[in-house]
Amino acid sequence: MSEPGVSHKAPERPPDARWLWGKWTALAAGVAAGAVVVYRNAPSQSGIYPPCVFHWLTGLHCPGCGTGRGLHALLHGDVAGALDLNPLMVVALPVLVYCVVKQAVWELAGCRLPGVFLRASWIWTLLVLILVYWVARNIPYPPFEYLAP
Amino acid sequence: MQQMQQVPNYLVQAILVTLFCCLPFGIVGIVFAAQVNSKLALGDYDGAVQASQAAKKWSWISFGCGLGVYLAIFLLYAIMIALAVSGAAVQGPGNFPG
Repeated sequence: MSEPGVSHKAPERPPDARWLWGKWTALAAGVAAGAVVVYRNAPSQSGIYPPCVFHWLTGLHCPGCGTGRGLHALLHGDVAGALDLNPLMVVALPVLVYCVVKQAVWELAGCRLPGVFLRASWIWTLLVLILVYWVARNIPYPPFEYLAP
Repeated sequence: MQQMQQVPNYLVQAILVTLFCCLPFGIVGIVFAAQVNSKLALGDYDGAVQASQAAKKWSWISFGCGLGVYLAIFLLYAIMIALAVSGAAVQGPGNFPG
């Protein structure tokens, strides 16, 4: 991955193909199994899911609260329901999935898909956005109410 | 630009942790991810590599913490189920799944 002369350390031993395929197969199987579990068990009714630790301790919503129920809604094709539960998750998910797929394609096939390179200022903006989102979801008045799960 | 993309910033992992593990550690990961790209933009390659390693470390720490906490909760559930089976009236630690 790194070009000679760029890396300051000794180049890492290239991982062998079997290990890479094993890693990505295990990851894909884990995601598929998780999707089946979330599809079949509504997090709003089922007791099999662990509670959000932050919400459990503080009673407040974190930026991730509503992700489980939102994924359940998405898997059932209910985009509006998912947006209602965690809009940040719905917006972020396609980008995250693309980045993971891009990494898998690069590691397994050695082929580079167009990258999502964010400039530092965009990441700092994203950070502020997430922190504002965290606070705003806990304001119990409209329009902020809409952000809460 | 070619060299800029060679230092991983682990932003995807940090956001995944923020959204799925429900842990403020994800925020730390995002800070380091931003530092990686900030330092690369300034030409500080060594600093970027250091921030990258910190980002990697924190994404694993938060993943481990999340896993540990959830395993502990499952253990708690298991104990409660055992108690419930043996006839004791018990209630869950919370009914708010992430």
